Amino acid sequence: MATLIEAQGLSKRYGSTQALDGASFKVESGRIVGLIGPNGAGKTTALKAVLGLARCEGSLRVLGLDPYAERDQLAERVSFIADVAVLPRWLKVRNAIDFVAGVHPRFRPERCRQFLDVTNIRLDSRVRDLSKGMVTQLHLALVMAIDAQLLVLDEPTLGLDILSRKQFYDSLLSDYMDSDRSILVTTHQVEEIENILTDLIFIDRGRVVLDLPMDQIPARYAQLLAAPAQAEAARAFKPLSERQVLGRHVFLYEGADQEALATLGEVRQPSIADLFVAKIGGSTS
Amino acid sequence: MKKFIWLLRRELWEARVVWIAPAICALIVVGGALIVAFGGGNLRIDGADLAQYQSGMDPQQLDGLASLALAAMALPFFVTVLFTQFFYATDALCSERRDRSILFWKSLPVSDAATVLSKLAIAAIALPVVAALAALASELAVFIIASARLSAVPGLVAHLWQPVVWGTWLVVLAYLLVASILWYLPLIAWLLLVSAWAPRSPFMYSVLPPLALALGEYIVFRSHWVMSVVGERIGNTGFLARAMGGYDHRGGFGVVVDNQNVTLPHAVSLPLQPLQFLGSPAVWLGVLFAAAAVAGAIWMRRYRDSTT
Repeated sequence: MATLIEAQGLSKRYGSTQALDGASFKVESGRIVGLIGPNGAGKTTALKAVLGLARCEGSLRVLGLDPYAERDQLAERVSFIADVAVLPRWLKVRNAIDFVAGVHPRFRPERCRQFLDVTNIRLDSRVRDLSKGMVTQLHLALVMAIDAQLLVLDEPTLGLDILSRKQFYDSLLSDYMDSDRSILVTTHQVEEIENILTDLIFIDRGRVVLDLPMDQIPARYAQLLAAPAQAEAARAFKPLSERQVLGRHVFLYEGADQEALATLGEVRQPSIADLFVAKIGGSTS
Repeated sequence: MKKFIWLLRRELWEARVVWIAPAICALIVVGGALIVAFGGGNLRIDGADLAQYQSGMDPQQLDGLASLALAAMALPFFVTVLFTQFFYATDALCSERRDRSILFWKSLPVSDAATVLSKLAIAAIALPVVAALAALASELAVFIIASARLSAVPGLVAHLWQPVVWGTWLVVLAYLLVASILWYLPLIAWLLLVSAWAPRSPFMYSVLPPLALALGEYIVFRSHWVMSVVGERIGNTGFLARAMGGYDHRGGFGVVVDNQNVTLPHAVSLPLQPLQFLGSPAVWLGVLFAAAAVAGAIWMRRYRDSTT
């Protein structure tokens, strides 16, 4: 398994804002990594650094290259969808395919057309005539037809309806992902990518506050639903967070003895959203 | 190189003004000629019939008139080019940031230098070349129309198709094309630089600094050096003075016609001065300035954080 991204102590300052504050993380090949954080946490800055669009302090290698200095070489092997609907409105679908085929040696136009065949997108439409969901489908079809090692997605489904969002991740998984590639994705809609992620990175105020493979979550984290009578005993296990839902207390633990917890109430695996609130929600309030 | 050609094609997909503007010019010139020729009524100048003029003129003057007609018909095309160049270059590197499509273009393996140079090539070279070709095509069409209309007047049509007239005109046109591309390069490069840099409203940012500089100079030194340098670059006098013979503007483009005679404007007979043009420091200082401004525009697109 190769390391595609290796970031050590990334820091970036915009005026008085510390966008990244010594963030370190790795992305191996064959992984789908979710980079999750509240607004202004530094997600987009981190992605820009990875893509060579912003200069950062610290050390950063992407596919063995320095992304900022060697962006032109890197661009052939890394694709990204930076945002929804950044395809220019005047562009015709047919021309978009021709152009990418003309400038990108790893792009296979016939594969792109295959992806589009199953959509309602016609080759002679202009981007301005497509719905937001269709623009995203088009962008995804273009990107998936590029044989890249790393795909970076920054809020790729923002503002799309639930069907388009589901379709987006379904085709990504079934038509694109394989063991040589990696995807690095940021999104606010964590519930939707929960099941496709292999790794989770939480970032808050420029720092990485959590970084672990999804399959280690059940062993490390537990959520306890306990009746009020058990609350005091549950607190003795030092929960990360506590809240009350419908008359029950909900605790989230890191590294606690799950068998012992089970005697106090119902133990469940926390969702990413639960983890997010416990890890970051508490510290910001 | 293959990538660069795709970049040029992309510009043509986006900026249809490249061919629409000359097409409209051609439509007006050729349409106007059709209306004049076949709109009914006799062709008369100051109440006199054409045949009357012809008899009063020697063949050389008639050839001169044909040359003048060719030059005059090209004029609207070149005025249009200046405007389209201005708006195209002003918008070229700004619109992709405005609609955030720069994020898509930057996701592809295309260098910033190639992108900026493709826009420079369209603005500085493609626009005037397309306009010159459109002008030539329109002139051919108009002279064909004129030949059809004037076929009744003996001997006149031949003057429209003198090889020496057309040959001279082709040389003049090609020379002016190349010379004007060199002359206007710094203006276009400046507009591209501002377009790559301006946070918004590149129009304002391209026009205001030179004006402010000129005003500042006037307040401090009571002189007009900036104004005259910029004015000479934009207006055609600076260009024509260097590209054609001397600083002499006698006659301008006016043609004097009376019942007996036609006096051709001095401008038509001005000799071409390629050595004088290529030897003038203003031309090469301009090219140097253009190179610096283009390098600045490339640097801006490459290193400025335009993705926020």
